Amino acid sequence: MMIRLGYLANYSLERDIAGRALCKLPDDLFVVAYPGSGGQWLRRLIANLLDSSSPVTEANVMLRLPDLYHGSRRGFARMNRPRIIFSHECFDAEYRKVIYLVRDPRDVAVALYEQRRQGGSIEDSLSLEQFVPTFFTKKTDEYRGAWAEDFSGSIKADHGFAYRSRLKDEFLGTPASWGENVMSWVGARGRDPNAMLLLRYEDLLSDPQAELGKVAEFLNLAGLNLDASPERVRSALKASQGQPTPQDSGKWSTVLPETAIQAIESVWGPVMTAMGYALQAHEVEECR
Amino acid sequence: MFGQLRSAARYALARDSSLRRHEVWPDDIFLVSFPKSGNTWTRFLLGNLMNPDKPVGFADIESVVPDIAVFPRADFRKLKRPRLIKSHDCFDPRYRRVIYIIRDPRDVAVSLYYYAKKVKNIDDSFSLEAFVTRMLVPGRSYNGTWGEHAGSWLVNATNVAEFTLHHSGAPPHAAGVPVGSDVGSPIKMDAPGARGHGREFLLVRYEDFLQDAHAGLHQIADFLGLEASPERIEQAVQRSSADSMRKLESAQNLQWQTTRETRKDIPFVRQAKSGQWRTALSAHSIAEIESAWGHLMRLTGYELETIT
Repeated sequence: MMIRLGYLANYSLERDIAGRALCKLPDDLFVVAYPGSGGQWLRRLIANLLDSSSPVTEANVMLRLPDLYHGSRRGFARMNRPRIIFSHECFDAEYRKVIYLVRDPRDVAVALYEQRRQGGSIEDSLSLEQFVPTFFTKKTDEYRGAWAEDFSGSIKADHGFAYRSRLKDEFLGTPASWGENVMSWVGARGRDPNAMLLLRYEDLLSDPQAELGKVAEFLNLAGLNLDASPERVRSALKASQGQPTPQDSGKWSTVLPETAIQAIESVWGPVMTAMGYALQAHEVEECR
Repeated sequence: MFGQLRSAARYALARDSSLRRHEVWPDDIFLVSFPKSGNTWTRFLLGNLMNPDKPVGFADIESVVPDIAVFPRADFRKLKRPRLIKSHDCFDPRYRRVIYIIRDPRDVAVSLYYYAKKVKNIDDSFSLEAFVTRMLVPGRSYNGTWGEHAGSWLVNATNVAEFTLHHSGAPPHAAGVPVGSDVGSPIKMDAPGARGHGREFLLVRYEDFLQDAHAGLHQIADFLGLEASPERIEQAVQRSSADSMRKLESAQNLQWQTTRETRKDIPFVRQAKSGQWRTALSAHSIAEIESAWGHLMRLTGYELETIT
């Protein structure tokens, strides 16, 4: 009963987490990435692009480029427009303009494994080999309810128990599996570059100037009055130095066990090919 | 302020409509489609098949096969399992058992145009051509465009390359992808993908269903594991015929939330036919639809009129 009252109070005051229930506005812009795909890095880069006066910090990132899983509905309603919002969700038709970041799922698996070990949401004894089929390539139902804090960091405790009690996936949303997330966006928007800018983590890493330039141009076309000059992009990149650096790509080839590679490629091989990631399994087949 | 209190009260009592707030149970079965794709007809067919004692009407369809956008959250909890739920939502990873109805987008455009007039979204002076142009624009509605809706549900590992841009202006990394490798062949739905992972997914084409309702209903009944003798299927098809639905509509349109406040001079149950677009749509509109969604139309077996 107390919990329900808490629910209600939070809901009435719109102090509950926005999540999937965010009320979208027609000029909103979204930055979307599957967890472990370097989304936080892109988020910092874009936040620095938006405001070059001072580098983005842990403290102000929620003001400049908030995410769905920590901001309240009320907070989102009070933001200056146009809003730029970070999300891990699968395709949502109400996201009018989207920058989608995709990363090689073999590296995503490694990143998520490390992230979740560090966060303590998986047993220390769980090996990477066990992690992939259990948590990564498995059905979405496995993620039910628990993913929010696993993936997005712990929710601030001072918001009280009722604040947390709404963290059910029907309210908060769910990133589902890597394949579902990527495919739902590509299936809906893959042929519409005006509605979705598709970026690859690997390209962003190898040529940040060019890729962030595309971001600036897309944001501009989407109605943001932004200086998209190479200088501005350069200064955003400069401001991002000294902040947590992104992981190199291709780590999977040294740490991911063969069975795990096979597991990922057998489920999502064609998606990986379509996204430009060469499969290892092919080479193996040709050797036989 | 009053509105806020009212919505808080509705929320507290779970009287708000379900939609994304719907608590999905693993055995829920979703009847999914873009609007105006034969979903209501299928609801009637299944409602009648499952309740042979009394014909289903517009007055009780909401409780027989409830709409996720209409039925209150609290009432969903009281339904008998497995629940059969109607939804126009785009891809939702939580839906595990899905019947997806697809219809030729050119016919959807015509049907949606009359429906938009019926629900007073557009007035009589709004042209069909302008309406078609508008329905191609993403981000305008909760249900997405036809292409977004179908694409988000039908993409999978065997066809994903069809959904990416890989000709001029394509990202260089996608250059090696074979173009149109599977063009013309029916979409494969058993592949791992946005739909896959052992989920139960049945793709139904409205046109096939229209041509042979008995076979279509039989297929759906099999999918649902429903007992369906030829007699019961026949009865359900009769009770859900366009004629009987028209009669039910004129008698009960004030009792159905979907039609209650709409124009009564435009019927909800219209032609119940396919191919209307051939006479209704201009060449310009046809070309617009086919250039936006041709890839999906080819995958789902709708012949293109314009060669692109």
